[in-house]
Amino acid sequence: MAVGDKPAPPAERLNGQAYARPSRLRAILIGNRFHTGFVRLSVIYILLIVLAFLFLLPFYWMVNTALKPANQVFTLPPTWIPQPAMWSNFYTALTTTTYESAPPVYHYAINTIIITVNGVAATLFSSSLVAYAFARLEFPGKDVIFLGILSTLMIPFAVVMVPQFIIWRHLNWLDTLWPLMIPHWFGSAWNIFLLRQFFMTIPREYDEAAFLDGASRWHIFIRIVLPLSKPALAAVAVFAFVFFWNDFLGPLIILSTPENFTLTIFLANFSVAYRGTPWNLYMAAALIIILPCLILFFFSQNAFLKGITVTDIKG
Amino acid sequence: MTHREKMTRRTFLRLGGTVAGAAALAACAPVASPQDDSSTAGASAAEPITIRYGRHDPGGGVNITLDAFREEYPDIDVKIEQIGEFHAKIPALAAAGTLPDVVRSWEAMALDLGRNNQFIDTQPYVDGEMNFNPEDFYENWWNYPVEEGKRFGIPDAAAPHVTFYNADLFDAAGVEYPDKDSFTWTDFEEKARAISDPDNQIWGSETIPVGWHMFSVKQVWQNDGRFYSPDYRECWLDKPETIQAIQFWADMLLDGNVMPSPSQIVGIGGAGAAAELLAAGKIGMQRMGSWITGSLVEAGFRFNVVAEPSQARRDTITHGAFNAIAATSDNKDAAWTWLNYNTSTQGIYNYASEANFPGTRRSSNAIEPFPWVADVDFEVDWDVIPEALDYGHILPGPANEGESLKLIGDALEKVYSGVAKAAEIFPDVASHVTDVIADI
Amino acid sequence: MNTTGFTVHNTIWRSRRLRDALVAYAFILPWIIGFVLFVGGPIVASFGLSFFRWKMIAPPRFYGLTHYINMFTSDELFRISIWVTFKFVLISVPIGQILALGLALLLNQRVVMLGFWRSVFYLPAVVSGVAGSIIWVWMYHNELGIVNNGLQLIGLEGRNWLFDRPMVLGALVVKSLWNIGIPMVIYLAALQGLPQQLYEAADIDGAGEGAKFFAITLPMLSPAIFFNVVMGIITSVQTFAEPYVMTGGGPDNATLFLGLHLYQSAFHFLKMGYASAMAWIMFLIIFGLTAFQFRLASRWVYYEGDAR
Repeated sequence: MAVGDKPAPPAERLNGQAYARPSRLRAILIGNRFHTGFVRLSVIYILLIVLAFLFLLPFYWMVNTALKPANQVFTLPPTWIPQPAMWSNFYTALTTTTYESAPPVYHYAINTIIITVNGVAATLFSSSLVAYAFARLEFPGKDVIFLGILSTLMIPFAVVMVPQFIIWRHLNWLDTLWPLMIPHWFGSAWNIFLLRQFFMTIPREYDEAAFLDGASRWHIFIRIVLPLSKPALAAVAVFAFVFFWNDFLGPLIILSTPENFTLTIFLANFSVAYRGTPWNLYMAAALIIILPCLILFFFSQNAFLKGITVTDIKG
Repeated sequence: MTHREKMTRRTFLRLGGTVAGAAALAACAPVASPQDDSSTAGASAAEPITIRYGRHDPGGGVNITLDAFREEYPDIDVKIEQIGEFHAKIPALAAAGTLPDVVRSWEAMALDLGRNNQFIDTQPYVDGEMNFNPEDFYENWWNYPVEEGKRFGIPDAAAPHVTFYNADLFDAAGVEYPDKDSFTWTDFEEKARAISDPDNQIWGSETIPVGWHMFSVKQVWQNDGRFYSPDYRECWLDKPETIQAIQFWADMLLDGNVMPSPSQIVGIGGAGAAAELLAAGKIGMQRMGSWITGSLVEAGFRFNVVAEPSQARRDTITHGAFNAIAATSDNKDAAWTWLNYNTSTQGIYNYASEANFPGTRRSSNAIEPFPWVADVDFEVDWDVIPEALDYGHILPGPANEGESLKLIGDALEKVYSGVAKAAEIFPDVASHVTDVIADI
Repeated sequence: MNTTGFTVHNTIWRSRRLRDALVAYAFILPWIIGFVLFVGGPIVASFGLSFFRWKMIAPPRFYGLTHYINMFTSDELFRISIWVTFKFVLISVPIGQILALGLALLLNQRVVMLGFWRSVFYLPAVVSGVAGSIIWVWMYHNELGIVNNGLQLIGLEGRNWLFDRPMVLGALVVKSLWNIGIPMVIYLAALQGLPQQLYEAADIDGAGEGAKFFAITLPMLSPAIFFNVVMGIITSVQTFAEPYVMTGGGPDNATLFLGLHLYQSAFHFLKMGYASAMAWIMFLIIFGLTAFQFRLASRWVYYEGDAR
């Protein structure tokens, strides 16, 4: 980008003629701070292309298989482009029920959507509430509590899994969606941290002015801080979406009857349900299930990137 | 280093799709038509009671029974639920308190969960049925799920393991058929060796499904050994008969000239391909539950049946399940109504005949065509199959069976893959398993 | 609140502070409740449970230290699972970080279509663990998978990766490398935030590429590296979906991760107390590793002078 419009590099000016020629050749091949040399450029792009190829290979293999007619799945060597492309595989994967009273796949999708929507709303609301207090309010024990919140990041789910299971059992809530919805209304450490970092970048004058005008903290939070934090909230929302959509261990432990299953549980059970594995349908189902997250990613890349990088990790 | 495919229990579960599962459930039409739900949508006053019925195989003959049941009891709505990874999931459902009202449970699981009060005692219900004739059931099946006078389930089918052999392949190799009256392990090995031609992917015997403990249990029994002491308080994996039996078959498996060895299985394209060899006419003998009849008929070669080969004594596995009522069920009476209907003479017959194995009721097995008989145009000694119910046994049912099977299964996997000798590792494993099963 | 006419400034000030604090506590109340109910409480309960034998379907029984003793004396599977997890973390975290950093460095070379490349490498991070695992099972399929067929195209012989005892953990590591999108983006952001003056100064001193990388880039990135390594270890110690879906812990327990062993103990074998004991060990491992890194951090993590 920043090629010609800069003054000559100080190094060359200082070293004068003596080094000019080798350094010019060097600049063409390897490059310097301002030019990317040809050799260097080639190496970079070759590496990028090879790595991108490897990273995309699983997607290609999934799509390729998902579109194959059943008989082509087992041909050797594999068909690299399915002929003809069986778009109906997606329909089949979604609608086939393996036995009479098995719920159709959209049923699992509904459960997943309920859990995800609730999860996103709950995370946004509760985490921003808590984050606001840490960003703006003064109270005894603030630092200790904040450290406490951060240190819960270290606690593996396994430690709380069994006791939580026992709690839900006593409430008779196992095999319902409640245990997968309610706990998320109490803030999550990572998002609290993320939002607090963002809130702190909002100039204090905005809310102090409102405070002096007699607005309540709640009012300031809802009317001033939240509207100013849309990018951060979007970041939290997309990450929460991906997390809840893909959650596996939680539903695996909580849900028992097929009617309550989520898409990930369905996918993990797929081979069992179909006895033997029609890989084309399996891949079609997998593709459908990851599609919402892929679409979300393509439409909100900035939110994703911000979500990762808004936090001042040096803090 | 090694380049082989080992069968874990999980692989076997998957593979089970092609072997056991496909055959046991072959007949089930997998896709149900949606129309039959609305049949009860009349002007019935009371809300129908919903009964959840959990089984590993949701299709097949049980749907015939279910349709008849709906006609007769429109106020009870039975919903079949498939429980994948049965062995693992049922205990989890029990712990969660969310077991289906009626559970079709494996042998040991019925006992274990019954002991822990997860299944109710169904004896009072049995006593309350006027025309119930317990003597109709095979005794060992009827008496199996009973402890301290409590009955934790009613059996339905009982598939015995027998030896199927490909008569065409025997003829081609010029090997005499197995003798009905005297068929020993030695005979088995000799014949299998004579038939085997690994270069052409032909073997005298099907491979051993390593992850499937039934195979090892029956081999141990045939050598007069046991996995556990009769009271299930001790693991007898370290007894000489047990060690000898497992090592004998492991050696045969690793030999490569009797049955496909683990490394040969990789060579022929993995476990899935190996499982298809029998139907492809490339396997001389297979010791397996009688549910494979269906796939043999489709395979198109001439086959026959003989009892399992024996060593010290004649024995085999008869594998089936018990229908139990969960203690957490809100509608135990309705659950019993369905359970009793499903395990009636006709109910058992419906399921057994679709899957080609005998029922546990003698009266079901008296209905023609006999459930284990398939329609073929050559002579088959079909009687061998029900006869096995008289001498065969049911899988042992110690406490904490799942965990003990994990330990035993890991050890078996090592022996069958040649990593270790049975004599080296079984004593240690036995003492661990004893700790596990004694921990009631 | 004191509203009488004799109120002194001091009390007004103090009551306002009190009121502010109360408001603040009201704001963080959700977290406090959630912590007590779903984290703190369960952690304590989990510790207590670890001294009991509780199958859930039978009443609990006091077991003392038996679980902890068994874990280190008789449960071979526990030893295996610790070792498997340890090996996985030790291999996958460093390789993953090097790959993520390498990609970030590549992307930081003023490449055209930065957004495109970044998306490509980030994409797998939004794919669920279950779906990703299933895709990789299919990739690794012995005959039909693209891995073996691809190797064949370039004249190499494949393996039955997921059933090959010595290879299977490596196969899972490779799968984990597919998911390095998040650390990569963090590195990239950190790289883009590096002050250019430092490099200019180095150029004046005639420093070479390598010297600049080790003298400037790496130290300046050290906070990001530290963060990524800590998070990488915390998540990879808890690996669950991959072995659950891809291998079931096999072959011959070669992928019996601690998380899987724990899950099976709790929900297949109903050893809730024992699982709790193992969970505590897992917690201690994570805590220990994290604390250790914070210790080490003072030696190699470079914070700019203005760090608080």
